[in-house]
Amino acid sequence: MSGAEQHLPEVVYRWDLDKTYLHTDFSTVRGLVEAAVESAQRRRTIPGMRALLSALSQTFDARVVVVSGSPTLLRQRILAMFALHGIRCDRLVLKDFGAALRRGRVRSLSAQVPYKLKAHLDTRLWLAARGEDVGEICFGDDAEVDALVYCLYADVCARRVAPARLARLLEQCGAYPDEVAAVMERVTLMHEHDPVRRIFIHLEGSSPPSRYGAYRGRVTATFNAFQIALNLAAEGLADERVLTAVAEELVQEHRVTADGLAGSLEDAARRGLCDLELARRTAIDLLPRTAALDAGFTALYADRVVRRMGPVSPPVPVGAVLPLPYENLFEAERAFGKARRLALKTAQRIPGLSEFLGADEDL
Amino acid sequence: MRRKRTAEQQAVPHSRTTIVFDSYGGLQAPGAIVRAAARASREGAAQVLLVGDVAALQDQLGLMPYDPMRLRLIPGGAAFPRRPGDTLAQAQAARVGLPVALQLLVEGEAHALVTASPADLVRELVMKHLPLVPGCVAPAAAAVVPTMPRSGQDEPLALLLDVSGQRTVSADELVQFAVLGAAYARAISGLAEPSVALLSTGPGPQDGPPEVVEAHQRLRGLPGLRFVGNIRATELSRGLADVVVTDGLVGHTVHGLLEGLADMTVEAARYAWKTKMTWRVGLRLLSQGVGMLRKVSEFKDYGGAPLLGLQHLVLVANPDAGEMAFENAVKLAITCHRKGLLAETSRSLAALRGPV
Repeated sequence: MSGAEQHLPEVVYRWDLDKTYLHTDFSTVRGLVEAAVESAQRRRTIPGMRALLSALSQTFDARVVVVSGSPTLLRQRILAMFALHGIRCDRLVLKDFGAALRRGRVRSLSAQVPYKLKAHLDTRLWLAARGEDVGEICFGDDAEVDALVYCLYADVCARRVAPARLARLLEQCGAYPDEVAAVMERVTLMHEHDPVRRIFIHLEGSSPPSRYGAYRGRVTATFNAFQIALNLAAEGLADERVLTAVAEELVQEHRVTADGLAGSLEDAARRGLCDLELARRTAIDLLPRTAALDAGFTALYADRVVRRMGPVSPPVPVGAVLPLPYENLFEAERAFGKARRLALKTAQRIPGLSEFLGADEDL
Repeated sequence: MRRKRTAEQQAVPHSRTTIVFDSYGGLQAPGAIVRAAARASREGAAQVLLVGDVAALQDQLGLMPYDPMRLRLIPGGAAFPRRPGDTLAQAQAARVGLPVALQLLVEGEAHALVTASPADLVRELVMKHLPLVPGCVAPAAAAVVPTMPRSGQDEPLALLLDVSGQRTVSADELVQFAVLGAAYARAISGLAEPSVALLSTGPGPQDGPPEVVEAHQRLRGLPGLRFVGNIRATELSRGLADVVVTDGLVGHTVHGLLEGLADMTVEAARYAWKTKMTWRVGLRLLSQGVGMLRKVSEFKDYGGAPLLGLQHLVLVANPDAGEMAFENAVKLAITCHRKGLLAETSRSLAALRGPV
């Protein structure tokens, strides 16, 4: 037996796929078709996420679990994409739309909470069966109810939600009785444990960071992969290599400018995702030595950024677990989703800045 | 007049415009400015720098979606007044913060400044911190005013300058304003040969004060400028010229009167709406036209008056400016940057000076 095989992972990275890792547009028919037929090579990722997940997965001290609402039909494509991106995916769970359709389960097609909670519990049992009962860092986005699902998953594992309340909540979230029973069965199989150490929610849509204030400090809202890497580095869960890889992908593949990196860094410091010292070190010692230099992040620029860094929030504490009103949160999330869909439709009718830029060919 | 792209417009490369906002100025500051900046960042229209009280700005930003990759907060060195509507304290804060914003222009970190701080304060600080185009005597504040529709024109608007409120004492300045206004109309409105008029007391070359009479004679003989003579204040809104040049104090007064008139029209419509059912029905039938009229006469939504004659782009927004006005200022700043306004004004003033 090799040394690598004997080594137990220290952390599990639990990822969502669409809108967290992949740039997917489910709001249009074209986006849906593209998601279904696009080859592994052509799938667009969220800027910086490929470098981040790749760097995180390349350590044997970590497991990578992906739970997605994408259909099972896409399994081979997704696995091919991960292979292409140099990402080790230890477990991939996809949604079986065909089974739901065959059973006439229309609600199951759209209900996210019952499906994802069950999938997370399944993968947790899989880890437990391998003796890998370690802490988890979860990654989701603001398009659906990822924050709620991850918090609920953490509370279910730690037995902070009573079974009767969980059953009622699942019904409220659109679960069929046998789906409720399946979740409850998995809960009984698990031993009490509190694995979730951090929940990152990528603000891919148009959410303000304050939207996650309702989660009482259990959710970390980030605007991009660089901010996630900064927060992981602040927690000691990522090193300079991760930060460098993310910054380089952003600059080289997504044409992010020095101002873009500086803006993210300053915002992360102001919102307590990292302390001022790490922000300074990243600006002065790290970025000018990476491809960010080509984007204008010179030593002189770094010096100016650091001089302008204003007051920062104290780093957000980890592990403060307060009870959450899931019933209200679910309704709030649903209302937010409806309002956002309406806003998107309205925005399509009212010309905004992007339309202004696109409309005048002279510009 | 047909629109035609000039060589200068084609020559400016496409790069993302960086706009610095003074978040201390305006009656709706900093909320309206932060919302407009956040939206611009989200839509990727421009790189935005918000100069101000960073802690206060971050508190507001946290409540709305934004993209930190395109929005940075720059400490302005002064706290935002705690009492809402304390314009005196706001102006004091702007006196500290505006130089920071102007320095970003000087150091090449931003292409344009948008401010709704008091125009006199902006002018004073701009004159202190920003260089003028060589040969320029004083910057001119240019404002668009609604006119009657003209054939061949997309928008029924004319450029009125100077509206700074400062006395324009010499014919030299009026001539420069005419050249600057024409340069703006060429670069931004895409007019190959914009018509330029002087605002005076009568149409004859001898009408008006001595500096206007002298400016009239010089403009008539100026090559490359389509001077159409004098117009009276009553003719301003008839759209007889693309650019109307006047003394800064007169321009400020005329502009203020037009704004007041627009407000009065809206009030009159509101009164009519409340007073009689038949008038209400009439207004309802005319609602589309009234809406269009209101859109062009809503001065506080205009994107700000550019200060022409500077080597940097400064847009002074109306003190009442709301979110929409600041969004329009973003559009105007992008247009001015991409269409090479500064190059066009420099070239035009150099041509006025003649070969060195």
